[in-house]
Amino acid sequence: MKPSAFEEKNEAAWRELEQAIEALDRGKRVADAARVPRLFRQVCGDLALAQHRMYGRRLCERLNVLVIGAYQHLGMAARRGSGALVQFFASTFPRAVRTEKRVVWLCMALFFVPFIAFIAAAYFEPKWIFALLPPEAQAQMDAMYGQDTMDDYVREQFGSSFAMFGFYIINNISIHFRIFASGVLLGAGAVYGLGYQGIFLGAMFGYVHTSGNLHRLYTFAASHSSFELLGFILGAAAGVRIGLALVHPGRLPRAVAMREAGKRALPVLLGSTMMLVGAAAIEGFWSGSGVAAWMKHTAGILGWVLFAVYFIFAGRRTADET
Amino acid sequence: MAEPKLDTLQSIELAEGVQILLRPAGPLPRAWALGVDMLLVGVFFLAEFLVMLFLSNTIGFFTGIGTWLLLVFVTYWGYFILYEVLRRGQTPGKKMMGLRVVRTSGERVGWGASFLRNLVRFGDMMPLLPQWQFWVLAVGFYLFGVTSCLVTRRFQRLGDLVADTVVVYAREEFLDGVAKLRETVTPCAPPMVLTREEQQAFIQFSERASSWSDSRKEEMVEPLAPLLGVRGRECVVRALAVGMWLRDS
Repeated sequence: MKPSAFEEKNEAAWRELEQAIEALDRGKRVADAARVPRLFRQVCGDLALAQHRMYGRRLCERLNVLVIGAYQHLGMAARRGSGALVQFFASTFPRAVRTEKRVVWLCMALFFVPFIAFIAAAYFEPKWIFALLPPEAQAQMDAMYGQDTMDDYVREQFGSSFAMFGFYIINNISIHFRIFASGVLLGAGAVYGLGYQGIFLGAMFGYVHTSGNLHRLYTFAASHSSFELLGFILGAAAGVRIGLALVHPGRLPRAVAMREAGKRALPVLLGSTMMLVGAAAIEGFWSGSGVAAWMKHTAGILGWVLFAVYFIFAGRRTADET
Repeated sequence: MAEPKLDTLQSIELAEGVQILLRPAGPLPRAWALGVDMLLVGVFFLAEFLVMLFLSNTIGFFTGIGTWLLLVFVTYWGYFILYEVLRRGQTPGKKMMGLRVVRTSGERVGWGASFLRNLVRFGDMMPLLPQWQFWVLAVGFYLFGVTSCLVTRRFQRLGDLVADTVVVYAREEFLDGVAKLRETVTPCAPPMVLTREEQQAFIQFSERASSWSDSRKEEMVEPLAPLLGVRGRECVVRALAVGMWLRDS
């Protein structure tokens, strides 16, 4: 059969599938959806024939595009609804974190060792803190957590809880995404990012320990601390997991190891991002609000305890589902 | 390792028993697409700012600022992800350049893959322009991304490797010179029996002939001279004629 005759014979079917794909691309419904799989199989046959009979590039390319388009629409994963979200937080996320527990512990150490060291420095060697914090940062800490700061200084700075929430989202989650992404560069970026955060947060806290109003600082920071710090650390762990796949791919080729690491890191990254959204909401609407200090402290301690329980026990019984 | 290939085409066999071909796109068209997308993101920022400036009279200045910050954040990180997932792998920039993101298996990208490849973009764009590290609005030289593109078989940047995706041409543009050839060349049968690969070579030569200069064509058919019994310009015409005959029969 000549290519022109082949084209003529099948033109109607190809045209129909092309129109269906175009409609689906624009998010419209196709009138007779049941015909699409049938047309797809037919065009698959046509493409195979055209390739075998060497009908030329123009024809083969047209059918190639057609088959890919139909394949991509037919191969779409079904929408899983709200059950998927519940399952994610009930088991997928905590299980993924446990699978990566060695990396998570490493990242915990990377953050908490300098953080605690600098707070301790307030009592033993305060000059370390003064060497690290530039004078402007010291002035700002004085303004926020000094001995004689107004009660709602932070709120005054931002004008409203909502503006604060917006600022925390954009600032914190951007840092979070960056620490994750730079972890991909052999893990070095995440190590640097976490260490940097640990050192500077430690220095800032340490500074308040030397000369500020500790009560105000911890009352403000307590409630969202677990969400925010654990969120950062888990995001960094996800990045380090991928970076390590490049350094130490095990028995896999590096490209394959990276792909596998991406699959393992994705739930950790998604979950930790949600934790940071939670942290921003708490920080914007609750931490700066006039709620009694003891309630904020209790909420803070409760947060750490609940997260510990959650990551250790959640989803242990559920069978592996994917 | 299979024998080295002449082209970058990736062939994938589907469950339907047919092979599809993907042609990965190199760094340059992708850079253009990215430029267009970044421009559009900037336009979105500006539009959102103007709307919020207008609305801040009624909802309050600080609420307006907060909302704008949220919108900027969502736009910056969401632009690529939403377009890639909802528009079958095409952001406006990619669409303009005729590109599409697909999984290496040929399937469309989903939320997870798109999320991963676009977050890792930040790693790809290192080192950053020093003045441009303000909050989310980072702009970088894409040193890692380009290097990774150049050393991988499918031109994948790090984000593509992690998410198992590849950027391909949505459809191949090429000049089909055969229609023009018909006026000047009459098809004729090959002088001997040819294998499939040889037939393929003749057909592709006739299809792509219009994109080469005359001297290049003559150079290419040089080894055929003893077989076809003619040389130079004549030999080119004979080779084209054989290609057309094979294609049409």
